Amino acid sequence: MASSLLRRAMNVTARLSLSTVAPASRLVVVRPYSGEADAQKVEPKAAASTNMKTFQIYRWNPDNPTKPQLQDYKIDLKECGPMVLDALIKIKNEIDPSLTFRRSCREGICGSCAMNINGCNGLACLTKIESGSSETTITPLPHMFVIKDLVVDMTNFYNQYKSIEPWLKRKNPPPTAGKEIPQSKKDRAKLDGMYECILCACCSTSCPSYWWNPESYLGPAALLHANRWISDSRDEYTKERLDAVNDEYKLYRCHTILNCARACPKGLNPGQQIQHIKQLQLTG
Amino acid sequence: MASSLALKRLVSSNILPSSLRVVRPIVTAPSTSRVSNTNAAHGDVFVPLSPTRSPSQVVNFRDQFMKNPFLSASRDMATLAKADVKESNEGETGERKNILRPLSPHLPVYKPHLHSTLSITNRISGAFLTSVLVFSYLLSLKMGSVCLTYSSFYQFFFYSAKLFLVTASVSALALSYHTYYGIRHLLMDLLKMGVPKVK
Repeated sequence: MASSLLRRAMNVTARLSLSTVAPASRLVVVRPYSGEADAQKVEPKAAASTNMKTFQIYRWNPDNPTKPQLQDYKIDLKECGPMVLDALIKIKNEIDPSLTFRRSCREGICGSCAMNINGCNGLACLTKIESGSSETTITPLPHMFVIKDLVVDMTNFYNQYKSIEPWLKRKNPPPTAGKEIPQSKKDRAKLDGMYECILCACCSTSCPSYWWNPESYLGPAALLHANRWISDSRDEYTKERLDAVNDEYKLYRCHTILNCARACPKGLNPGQQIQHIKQLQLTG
Repeated sequence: MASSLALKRLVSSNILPSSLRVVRPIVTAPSTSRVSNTNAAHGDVFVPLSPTRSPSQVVNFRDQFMKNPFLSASRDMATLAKADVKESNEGETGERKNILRPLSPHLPVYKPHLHSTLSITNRISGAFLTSVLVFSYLLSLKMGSVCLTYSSFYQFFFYSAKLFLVTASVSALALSYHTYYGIRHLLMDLLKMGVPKVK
């Protein structure tokens, strides 16, 4: 209460004596605190024009395991960057430091900040905050074990990627010994749409088939990479790779639900790559 | 022990504003926290301490509650952490807690899209047609013997006879949709038609 009175007094004096008061003093922000409880009380509509938006964020603490909850945070969009990650960082800096989430590059290339925003999976650093007064709901990637708040356990996902052996395998040495294996531009173009995958897990965790069979079905991300190595003209283990995936569960749990293509933040289409593998299984 | 007494005194006194006495379903069992997350509606029970809590847990509690009035509206997220929850051993100064991690929400949260809706409708129509087929087989072949032995069945079928027409038209719809979807799937697989662009 004392802090708000002081603030109002400051504003009044500043407006009254515009010419006499030094311009620098108007830029100084004074925050007198009488106690910790007082300091925590921030009036959301303090400034003249604010654009408040409510974020509902999934919270769960392993140190104090209760039922997971959705917690509300109100922030002013005028003082925040355009992306959801900006809002999360602002909440962590100013309101609640215990909010836990992964982030690294803030430009959509590392894949750390993958989470479910307003019902769709995506990268927080690439998803714009929706304008308008509707609430934004942020939950972790669906059907994954939660380590804390928005951080999920990705071990199974990475193991599935490892299981398709994502490296070049050859039976014969390269045609010109000691030099690189040549590849034509057309063959290199076949890899477009697959090599850009950043393993953010947005697609796999959006697939209901992957929800119901997370350990036996490989998921769109791993299958996209499997197709990347199957389609690589330099790789000579194509038949073995196709046989390794030719399983009722590993490949054929895909029912072309196509949630993966919708969720991919890089604009890739894992469903199409899985279809390509299925066609290769038919023909070869 | 002394810290727990101090905290009890702090909570019961009026130092903390009443807005912080938030309702939160809290698991009172200390280390064996087999949280039954299947919508067990814990009432407004505010139990800050039980004597078996360790001091570090008490500190965590106090830190959480000292937080701020932004806890004004917090909703429950009912998760499905049934049989496939994982155990994680958290070593805490010699005390090992087996915490079961919750599963992040999937069906309640994920937004349905066009293609996912088409796919699930295909599955539902298939299931519906199968059940209609099985039920009609049972009905037509076993009706005689069942109705002669149990008279209440005969009454039921008499009064529900109008449902047959409704079921027939709905199953015709389901059959046509299922067939169209199946042909589309076949074309996608054989003719290299390609998967439709989603975005």
